[in-house]
Amino acid sequence: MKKIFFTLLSSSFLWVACESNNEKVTTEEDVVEEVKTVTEEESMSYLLPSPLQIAEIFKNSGLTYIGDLTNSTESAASYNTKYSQKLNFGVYSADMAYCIINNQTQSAINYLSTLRELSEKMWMTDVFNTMGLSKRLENNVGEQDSLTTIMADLQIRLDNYLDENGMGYTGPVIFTGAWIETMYLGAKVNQANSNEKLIYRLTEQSVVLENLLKALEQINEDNDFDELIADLKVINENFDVLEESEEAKLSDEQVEKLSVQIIELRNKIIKN
Amino acid sequence: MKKVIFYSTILVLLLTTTALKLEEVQCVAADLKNELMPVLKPEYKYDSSKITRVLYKKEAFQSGVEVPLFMGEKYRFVFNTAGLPKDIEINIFDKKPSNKMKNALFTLSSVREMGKNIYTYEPEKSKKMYVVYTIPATEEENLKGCVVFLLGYKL
Repeated sequence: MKKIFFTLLSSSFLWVACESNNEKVTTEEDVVEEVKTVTEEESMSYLLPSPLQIAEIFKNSGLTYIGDLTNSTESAASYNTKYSQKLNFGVYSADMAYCIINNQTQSAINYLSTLRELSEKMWMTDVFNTMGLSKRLENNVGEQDSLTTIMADLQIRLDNYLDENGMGYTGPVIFTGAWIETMYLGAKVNQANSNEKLIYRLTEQSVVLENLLKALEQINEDNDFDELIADLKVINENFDVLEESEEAKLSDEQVEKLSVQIIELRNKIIKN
Repeated sequence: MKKVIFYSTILVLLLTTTALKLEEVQCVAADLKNELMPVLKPEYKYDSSKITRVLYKKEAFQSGVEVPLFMGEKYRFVFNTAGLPKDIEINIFDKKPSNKMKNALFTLSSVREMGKNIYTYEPEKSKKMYVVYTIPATEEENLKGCVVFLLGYKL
């Protein structure tokens, strides 16, 4: 028995020692030869901005607060499929960001509760468990910078959670809901009070939609997102008219067509 | 009693060596990301992040991240390479990696310092950018790690 243990023990030490030696040898012989370049779609990944950043940029360009535009918290109970829960988790995140940047702290707290409720349905309770977010929001009423920092912390927490739990495929779906809702808010405010800066910022979102479509296509192995991708592609066609210029902006008619399609898709998502 | 102590010691040693081996290849992305947060604050707010897991191969290869940036806004790119067992190259290009007219805006090898794992880049102009990781060839089996990229914004 003793012999067996000694053999096992010495083998395990040898194993670790051999692995370390291998590492050194390889480092010395490290030669970079021909490099396969990033031309294949599968070796690229697509970064999606935080809904908070988009909302803040819209706000700096004239996105004012209009009550009753956001999705009702009561609707959360009716989202019974994982797909509608993920999309509407994004919608509510965008609504919370919209309330925060407009100092509507109580509404933001209500959206936080709704997000927690949805996260429980999605088995993502840990995202909110340890943050004491409601208290932090309450303690910082009127403190714009602190409120946006709290929202940014929530984004970090969500990103970490999805990564640690191998749920990277969920991120683009949640983001789709958030992006559509932010675009919806921008489109509605612009319809109420047309604003050149806001139209420019709405146009600029074509770069995000491009990345979003690629990210969704990467996770669409089982064709679960065919319909969503098709709907987003219709919206993307609005940007085909743009010339490759930094100052490119949709005309009033073009932005109206875009707005109608955004509103339609947003209403489809929240009714799911 | 002596036997119990003897076998327990052996068992503990076995478990420890196994744990050491496992730790060697582990990439605790959240910890690596947390190390980057102070590099953003207080000027920049967290926007998004991408953890790229790397499995070294016998041939060198590239992997990339497409980064949409909004005009006129300020950004800070932050990388943590501490989760990599072997150095990689990081480039940031202004055009698609396949575009022959692309310009390298940032090259890690030109700023790399011994013992330093955190690097930052702030673009002068905000437009879509492409982060490209070049992973060197290795003969070592199952060599893996991760690189963490975090983006901060300032409005």
